[in-house]
Amino acid sequence: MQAPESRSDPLEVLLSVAEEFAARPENTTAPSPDLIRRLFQIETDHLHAEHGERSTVVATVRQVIEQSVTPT
Amino acid sequence: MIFTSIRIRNFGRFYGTHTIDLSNGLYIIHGENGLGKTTFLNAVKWAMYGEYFDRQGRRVAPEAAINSDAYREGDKSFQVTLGIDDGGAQLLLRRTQAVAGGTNQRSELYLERNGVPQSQVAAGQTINRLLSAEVSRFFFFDGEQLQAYESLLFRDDSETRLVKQSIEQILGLPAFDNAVHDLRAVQEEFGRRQAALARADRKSEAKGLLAEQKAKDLDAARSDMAELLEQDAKLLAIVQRNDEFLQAYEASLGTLRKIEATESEISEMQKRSALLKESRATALRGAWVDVLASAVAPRARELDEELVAEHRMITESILVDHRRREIEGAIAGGRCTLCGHLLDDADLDHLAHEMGEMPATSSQDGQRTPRVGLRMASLATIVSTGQIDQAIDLDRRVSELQADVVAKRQDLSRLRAVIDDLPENAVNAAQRERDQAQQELGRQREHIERREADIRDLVASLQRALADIRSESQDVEQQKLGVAMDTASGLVAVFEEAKGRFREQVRSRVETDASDVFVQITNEPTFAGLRINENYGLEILNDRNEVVAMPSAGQQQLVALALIAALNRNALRSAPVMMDTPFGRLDPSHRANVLKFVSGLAEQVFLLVHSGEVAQIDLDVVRGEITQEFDLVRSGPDRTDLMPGGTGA
Repeated sequence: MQAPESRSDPLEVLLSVAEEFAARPENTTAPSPDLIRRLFQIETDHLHAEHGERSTVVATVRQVIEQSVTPT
Repeated sequence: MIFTSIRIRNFGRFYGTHTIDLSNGLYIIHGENGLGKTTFLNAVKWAMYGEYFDRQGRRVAPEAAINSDAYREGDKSFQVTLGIDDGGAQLLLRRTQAVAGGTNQRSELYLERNGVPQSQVAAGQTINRLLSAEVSRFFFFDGEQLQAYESLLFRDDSETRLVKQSIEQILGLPAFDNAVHDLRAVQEEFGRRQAALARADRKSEAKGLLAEQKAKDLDAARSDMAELLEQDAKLLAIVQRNDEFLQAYEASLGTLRKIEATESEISEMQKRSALLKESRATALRGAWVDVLASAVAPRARELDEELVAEHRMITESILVDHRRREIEGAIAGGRCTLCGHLLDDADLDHLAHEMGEMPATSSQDGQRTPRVGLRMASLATIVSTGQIDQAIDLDRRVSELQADVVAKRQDLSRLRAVIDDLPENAVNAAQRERDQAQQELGRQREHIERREADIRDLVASLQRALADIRSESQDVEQQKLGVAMDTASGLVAVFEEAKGRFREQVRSRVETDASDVFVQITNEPTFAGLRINENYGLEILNDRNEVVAMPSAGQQQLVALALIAALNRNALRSAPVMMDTPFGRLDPSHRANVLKFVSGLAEQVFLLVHSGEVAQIDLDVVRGEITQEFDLVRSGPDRTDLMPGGTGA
């Protein structure tokens, strides 16, 4: 009934911008596509988080970034 | 999301409990005026948002929603329960309202997700996520008012911004905003931890203290900024409030102009009335002839008959005179005047006898003819004047004109009442307050710009201080924090740029999709598509790429339907579309166009229609796509039953 394929995909837009960002010589540190996917998923899952819940989202985002920069 | 069931108890005309089970597809609910189509729509709105409004935009009080029969029988509560499929998750939303003792309690909301009850806060958030109240006007709507919603997107006020924000919410933009907000908070936390680490190290203590001071300065600047923004919002509200008042004043000036025009119209009408009265008097002066005509008519007929008789008599008289002269000649000459033979005594006696038998004649008889004709001509003139008809017509026109004058005078007194209500001092005060607030707003914006520059400088300065700490530190934790900080900065840049790009993309997509739909449903061949504005308002473009000025109400309704279709296609989440009287302003051919495309509008579509709007024959074009039809059937003065059907009863 609907035409879901017609809608713009925000994640695609994000990944495309991230690719361009990484290609610019002045950007020595560029976020990885995987990190962007994970953060976007967190934000989509908590789209309507307010105040108290927002700080939990911030803590999750911090944790994900820290994990991404920690050599495993 | 789609509704899997709707259960209504004691809401409006729905006495007792009425339940319908649903899946996706097209549902048609038939009902004549007053049987509960709008009530059905309002029941769903009320269940979702705890309130609903009448067509004048007034909030409907709960006591007005309860079924009167149920209330009389002692059941003083009403309830609406919605079963919802939210992308596979099963939600049960139930709202109950008690109406007792003249005091209205708040409605009670219960929401469970996959059988697990949610808190009130979570329930509110879930509903907002499914379909916020601001956006719901584009999904649950009264077709008669649809174009008003669309025109809202051409204004520039808080309500428009709220609707724009909500549209962007369903299009998925807040995910970017939230990400930028969260990443900035993470950046700051990393910065604070870096500064604290540096301060704890004897070698970098001074730099750590400096960075901490800069971070404090930044916090102070941000707090200052928040206050400035709060003041800015207040000033903006003052400007907007006064703008609204002054717009109303402008409208009143328009009313004044209307008064002047009405006065001039009345004066013109009075002049025309005077002229007509004069004509009427003239016509009435001549009308006595008509009054007499009816009395004269029988006499005219008599005269006519008399005239015929006179003609006959004159002819006979001429013949008699001629014979008399013949006989007189024959007697005098003693011979026949025709053959000349001699007449004997017997002949002469016979002729004398004939003379004696002849009627007497008068040579004056012939002169009576002109007198009768003259009287006849005069009577004919009188009968054919038609003066009475003319007088009656003039009288009617004078009466009509006088009625118009009375109506105009009534308009005038209403308009004067509007003007009289206008407090002149209040207008001046509003203008002053608005100008002051506007000036202050200008100064405030300069402060904000300066403060924004300060914050940018402080951020750059803090980042330099933190980079300085990192460059000289051998501490692993410090290095790790530095990389995390750079990563967060990169993420902020990426999300911000992507947000701008996505917004443009999605707006362009809404414009394209709405144009596609609009071109499909309009019959106007010169309409080439739609153009979108910053607020998602849509204007019609013609084939010369010019904006169509003043589209009709029906065309505006088509534009609004096209916007709904486009929003649904581009929404992060889909929602059911429920349309009350959707074809009210559409002609039959546009109705057929809309019907053909309506089932593709959303995953689940409800049309609430009356038989004058959509007959069963109209539904033939979508017969294969209808999931089910229902009839709203009167079962009492304040009762409607919701029956499976489709008879259009």
